[in-house]
Amino acid sequence: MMTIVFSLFLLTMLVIVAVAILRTDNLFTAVMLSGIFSLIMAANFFVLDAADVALTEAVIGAGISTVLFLGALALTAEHDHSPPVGSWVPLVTSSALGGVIIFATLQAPRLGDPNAIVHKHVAPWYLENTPLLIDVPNVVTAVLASFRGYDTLGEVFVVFTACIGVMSLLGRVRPRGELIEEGEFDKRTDNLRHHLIPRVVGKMLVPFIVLFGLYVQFHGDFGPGGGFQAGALVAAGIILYSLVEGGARGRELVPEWFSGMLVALGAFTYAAVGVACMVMGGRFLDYSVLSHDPVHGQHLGILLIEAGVGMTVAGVMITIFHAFSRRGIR
Amino acid sequence: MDILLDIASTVLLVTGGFFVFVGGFGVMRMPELYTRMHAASLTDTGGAALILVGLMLQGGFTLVPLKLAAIFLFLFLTSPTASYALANAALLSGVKPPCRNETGKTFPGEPPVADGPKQSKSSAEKRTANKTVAGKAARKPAGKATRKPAKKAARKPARKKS
Amino acid sequence: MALLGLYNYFVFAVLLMIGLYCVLARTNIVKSLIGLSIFQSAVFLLYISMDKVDGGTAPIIQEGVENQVFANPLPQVLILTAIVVGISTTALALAVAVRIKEAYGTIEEDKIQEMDREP
Repeated sequence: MMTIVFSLFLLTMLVIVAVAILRTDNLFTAVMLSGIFSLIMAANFFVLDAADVALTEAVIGAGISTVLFLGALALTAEHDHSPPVGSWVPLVTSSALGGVIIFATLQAPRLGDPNAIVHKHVAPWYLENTPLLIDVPNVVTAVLASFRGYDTLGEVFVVFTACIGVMSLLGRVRPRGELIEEGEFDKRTDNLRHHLIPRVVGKMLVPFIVLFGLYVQFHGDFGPGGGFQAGALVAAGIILYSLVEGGARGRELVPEWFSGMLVALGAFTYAAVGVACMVMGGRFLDYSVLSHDPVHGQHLGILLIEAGVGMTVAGVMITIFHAFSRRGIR
Repeated sequence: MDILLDIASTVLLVTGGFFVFVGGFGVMRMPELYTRMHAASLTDTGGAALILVGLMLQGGFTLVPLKLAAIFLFLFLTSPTASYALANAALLSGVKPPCRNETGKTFPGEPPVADGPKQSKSSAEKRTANKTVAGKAARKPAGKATRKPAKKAARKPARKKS
Repeated sequence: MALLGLYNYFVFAVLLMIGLYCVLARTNIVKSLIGLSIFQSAVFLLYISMDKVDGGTAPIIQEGVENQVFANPLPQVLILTAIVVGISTTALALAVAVRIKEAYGTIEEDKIQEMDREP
């Protein structure tokens, strides 16, 4: 009973925050509210028994996404100067769409119905056969990495392509203008070195964040976790260091060639594991042939591709952050 | 022994919930940024500490209380840092705390100070005080909500001694 | 009372409407992108609402516990990758917005269209 009340409350908060994002004129406010929106959404996912997804949404939605939006806001405008809505078309279109969807969902099975169609066909097969074929406690990781590994390969390459896109748009070429000298205290400087408390606490936290990211990476077989969350966590730690110490020192810690190499190496590892399976006699991404015992082969395959995914996601997030922050140095 | 643990954790959880409620209520009713930050920091430290200790008592001797203690330690380290960064940024942006000797200026839209606690603010001001910052020093893996100074022009509130 | 079990879907529809309205009615590019991310999150909510089972827990098989009821793992797998892909495409769109600002000097769509219409 209490969980029902709690989830109702969380869902209503989502709608309220979304309306607030819509109505505000200051883009800064909107970005902050979208961070809150992602966090409430993560709590919602947890109430709905999706632990992996909640972790991913919290790390990426409330962490990385806010930083990227702020980086873009620093380079563009801060206020939304939209003219007042002239025509009725947007309101009618959205209301019509909402009305049609509400009408369609009136026939949906209620929340939590165990006899819903979606629980019938493939899902029981996954739940039964994961202990037999793969023997990994976290079923979501098993399905993501092994049963549906081909989809995940596509996702990794989409992330890789987005990184290439951002790098070619915002590039590594410094825009024209003067560079701020290191050490000169200017109000527009890009670090917090002048403020002692955030600097000390931030630098103290960075190794723990990276350690937690590695824990989530390797623990993904036994609990919520996996490559996507781990990559985003490690990137968040490195981004925190770059924010506190300044972009130049952040790029000394993790050089640009290193994060670029991580991006390519992760995707290459994933594809190489697939090809290695073919070379050893199985099909593409069929990990059972990687070792003497099919179950051990599955474990090895999952470990390698999760490492590949983690490397790519971490490299992509760090590269995109540096691309945005370098653009603003005038 | 079990009953004692249950009672103790119930008391702690209820008190923690009360602190969180007071913090939220204070953010809405306080007149300006620095007092609101003071109220909201109550949620982060007092509320979080009591709730986490109450949950730790329920955990027994497994790994779970250790993890909760680690969470509490990180929360305890980062939320005062976030408040400091927020107050510092507000000061650098020109939001001044209310000073005593300014000549007769109050907030726009407020009755004079002699009436006591302020009326509820306009929704715009409430919204700007409820913004979060992408925690430069408060970045945590699970994301953390803190507050952010208003980006409006510098205000010069004053409190007249009645 | 049956409507209470469908509350998730109603919230999904409302969030979809809000996101779409934000994209259609606002001319600022970054604001439209924020609205689009609300739209995406609403779709994630729909998928994850579909996977809940009464009395189930997260799909992590624990040793020695028999006859455990689990939530459906399949939508979670789909949404996990969708979240990461969503942030990647949002980052790409933000890079395009930054370049538009540098080229045109503004990120309001109506002013950009005016500038394009001038010879």
